Amino acid sequence: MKRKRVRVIKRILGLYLPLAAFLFFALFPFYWMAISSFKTNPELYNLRMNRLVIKTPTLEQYRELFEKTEILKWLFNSFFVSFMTAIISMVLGILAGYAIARLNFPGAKGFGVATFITYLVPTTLLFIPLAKVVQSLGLSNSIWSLIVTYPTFLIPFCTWMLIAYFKSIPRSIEECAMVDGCTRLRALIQIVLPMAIPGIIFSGMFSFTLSWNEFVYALTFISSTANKTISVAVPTTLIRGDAYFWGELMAASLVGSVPVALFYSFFMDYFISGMTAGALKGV
Amino acid sequence: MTSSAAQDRDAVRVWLRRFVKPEALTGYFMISPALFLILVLLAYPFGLAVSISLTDRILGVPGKFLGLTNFLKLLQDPLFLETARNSLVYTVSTVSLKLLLGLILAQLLNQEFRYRNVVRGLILLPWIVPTSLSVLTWLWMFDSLFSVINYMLLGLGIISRKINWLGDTFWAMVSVVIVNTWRGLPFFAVSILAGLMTIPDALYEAAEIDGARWHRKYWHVTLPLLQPIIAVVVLFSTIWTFADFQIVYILTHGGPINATQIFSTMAYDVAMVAGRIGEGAAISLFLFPILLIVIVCMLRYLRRE
Amino acid sequence: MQKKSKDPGKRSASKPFGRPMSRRKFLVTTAGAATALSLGTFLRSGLGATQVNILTWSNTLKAMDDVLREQAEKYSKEKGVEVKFEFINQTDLPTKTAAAVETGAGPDIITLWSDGPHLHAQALDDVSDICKSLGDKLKGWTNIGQDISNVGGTWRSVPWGIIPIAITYRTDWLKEVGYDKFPDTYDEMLVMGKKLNKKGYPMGFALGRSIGDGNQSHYPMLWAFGGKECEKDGKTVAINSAETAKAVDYRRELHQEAETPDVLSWDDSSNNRAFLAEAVSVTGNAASIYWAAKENAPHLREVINHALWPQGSAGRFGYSTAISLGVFKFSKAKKEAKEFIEWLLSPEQYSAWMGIGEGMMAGLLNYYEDDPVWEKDPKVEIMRSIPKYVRMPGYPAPPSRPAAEAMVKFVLVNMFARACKGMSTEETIAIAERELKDIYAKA
Repeated sequence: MKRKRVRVIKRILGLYLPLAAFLFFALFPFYWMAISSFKTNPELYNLRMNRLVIKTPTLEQYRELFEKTEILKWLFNSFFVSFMTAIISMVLGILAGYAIARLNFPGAKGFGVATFITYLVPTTLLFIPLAKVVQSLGLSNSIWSLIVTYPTFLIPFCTWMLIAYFKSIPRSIEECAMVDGCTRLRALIQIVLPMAIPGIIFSGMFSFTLSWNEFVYALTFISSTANKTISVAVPTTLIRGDAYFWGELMAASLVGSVPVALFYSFFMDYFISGMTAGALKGV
Repeated sequence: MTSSAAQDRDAVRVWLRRFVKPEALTGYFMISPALFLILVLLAYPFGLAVSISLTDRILGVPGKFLGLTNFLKLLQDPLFLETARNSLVYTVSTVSLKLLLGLILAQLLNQEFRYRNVVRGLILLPWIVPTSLSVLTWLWMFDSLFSVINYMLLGLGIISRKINWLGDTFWAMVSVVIVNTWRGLPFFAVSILAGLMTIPDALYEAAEIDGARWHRKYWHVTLPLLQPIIAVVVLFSTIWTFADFQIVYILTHGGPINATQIFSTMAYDVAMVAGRIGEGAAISLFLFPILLIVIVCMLRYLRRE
Repeated sequence: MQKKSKDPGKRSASKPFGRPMSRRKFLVTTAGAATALSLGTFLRSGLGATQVNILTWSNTLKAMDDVLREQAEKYSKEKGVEVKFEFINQTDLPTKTAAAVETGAGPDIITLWSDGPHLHAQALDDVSDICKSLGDKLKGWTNIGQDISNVGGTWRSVPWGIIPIAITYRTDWLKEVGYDKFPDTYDEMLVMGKKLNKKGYPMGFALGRSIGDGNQSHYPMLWAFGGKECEKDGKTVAINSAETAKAVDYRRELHQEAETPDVLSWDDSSNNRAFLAEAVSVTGNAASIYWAAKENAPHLREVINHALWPQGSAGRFGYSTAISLGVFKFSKAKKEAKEFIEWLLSPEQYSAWMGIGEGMMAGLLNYYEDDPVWEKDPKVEIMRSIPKYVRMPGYPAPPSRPAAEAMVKFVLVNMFARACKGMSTEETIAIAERELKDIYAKA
């Protein structure tokens, strides 16, 4: 009996309490986001009221948001851009990763290192020269400019992830297939890829997240409000002059966060197993 | 025909084969799309940025070639040195905090408990939500008047006077470090968790048979096995943190005075607002050679592992 | 184009949390619409139909932006030139401007912040002709209008307006400490501030790194005491003077005895919030606080008033953000763009826009000093004379790149901020002097 109690206490102190603290740290800003978005303006700016609860909940901020802004369009833009870039980066990452992991050719290693180094390039500045390239491609103010440019910072990561991943798949499996007359491409598609699905999904999610997050390129390349992604549209259109309209901003932030969170909840298992199944260990 | 000529010819053929070998061809074919995209959209603009940093270019006006003057001048600029120091403090403290907390959190998440997957998902939230939106929330939480953090700390009696989060030189740095840690911790925790999950239980069992206590197990079994992962994650995070712009820009814009001015925000102000893009480019590229050396060494080390 | 994107908005409005099914349907429709739209714009631009795009800041007063939108629509209908405004928050405007200047692509007309025409002169088309024609028609340009837009004899932009920054104060609290109106000199303001602070009504002038209020409060203070960052030649740094020292000492005393310590973190929006939450008695701001009180704190509307910046030994000064409209050289619709600007600044349009603002914006043509908007509300009436006192950073020299750089590096604001944090006057001025010398040496 006593031992059991000791175990319970141990579990509370060693697991639940610290876990609760971490969860609080991670989630409190979202709670605050939500609570601010359901308050009326007078309540939001009242110093004398309890700030942690809502007294007179309202949907006013959301009504403003959905009625007077193009928030659904922004969400759609973000989804479209993130989805497309994730696909592109995954495909190119698979090709490059597989080549470097499996094929013997001069320059393979050098390419691997070079892709890594691209991460050192500071984006806060790169966007100016890049804007020129985008302009000469005739893509200014189109969401396609983002679909073309985002893979540049995603492919290196995807490639690296997938190199490690492919390395962890035994060579013999595909060699057997190739001896049986399978071409390399078919071996890749029919044998290696199915085995690498967790890794591929992981790099896809990673790409999706970074695209959903991206700010500087989207700010520079896109001008029309209707073409903006949510991460740029919310701050640039909802902050007006020298005033932040916190209620509306928080509502928009919540709307911009929830879809990604839902998206992740579907793929959570893959995400973890993608990282587990050798992705990071083999670099 | 002498035999040495035949040997030569063979050598040439072998050498040629190395390139025309179908395998190599396939290899080049497969990396070419990625290579193309990176060359056009990254290498070229990057080259342009480097060349800009060597001139006294002003927005919209072609500049004069200066060589390394911009870089040398920066070294004598006290403001820049302060910025460099801030960047270092910011990066080192956030990365070490994220690593420390990440190790603990990963350990917690690796245990068995109910709703574990849900919790793992929730923990990831700060990382997957757009920074431009979540940092706005933090700005609102740090507000000098309406700060909910102060409200809670005061209410709990932990502090007796409100903290001027973004207005005090010390607390402003603390604030940006907190927010960066908040945002980056999930990446650390989940990566390390992934590493933990790959450690075979057999190793622990062996250690237990030897009678090792948990901290010894951790030190001698877990950490060495996690080392490569930790190295990669720290490497990525260091690069990202050095380049981080939004958190500081939105929260403090480098202030108060220059207490949180870091490379990226200073480069932005100089290049975009004052229009000196030559100097701005030099600021943001200042660390490039140093980071480059670090990365190459790290990669070498990891490869050898 | 407009219609299609509005439709779903309406639908979701009537049913803010509609069934998921309809939402999905909606997404699909928008997706289709989006592709069709982007294709449409692409084709149209390819066909060379004239379209004038204007990038401007989101005004604190949404109503003012709505007026612009309506006017653009009206113009498009009447003149057959499609004119479109895009609004963006003021902090991200420089990024967009820089990208446009560098790449040679972007909007046709850009909104330039105070010294913008001087910084981007090379990329801006000569607009002297419309400036002259507007000036002739409307009693000429104010000095400040000429200062910002006239770069070495050529008008690089058309002055659009000034956001008058004045003292915003609480009449009821001032009465409590025995003042019927706002003191006219800095010294008297300090005396009053101490009394107010003792009662728990501190003042607050932003000292954070935010491009607006901090600079707008502190440049005038320096000038009023006779200090200046450089000589009239625009080259010789002159910050290290007895006058500057007086200003710094004054600022320190004001901070320590009459002000909330929060000011060091304040960005442009903080003083608005603090004032509306009744946490400060006096601040320097645009009329936006007064305006915001209408919605969020109606009871404050009665007790808010505005005053001119106080005088110092060197006179009365102000620094307010002035905005102007520039036409990019790369624009393919320069002629149409200029015609539109001229139309936009003519009394019929301009008065309507300025009128909605109720003191948020003042015209830079002398004609608009007598605009009826100033008669509407005595509380914003003083805003009309603010353009007279306004100077630009760098004063007494004309606006320049070094002066702009000194401002974005917050050299002066930081000089005052360091003093408020306790640094000695000599030391903080010495730092500012060194920073200024570095900056001016580059020119």
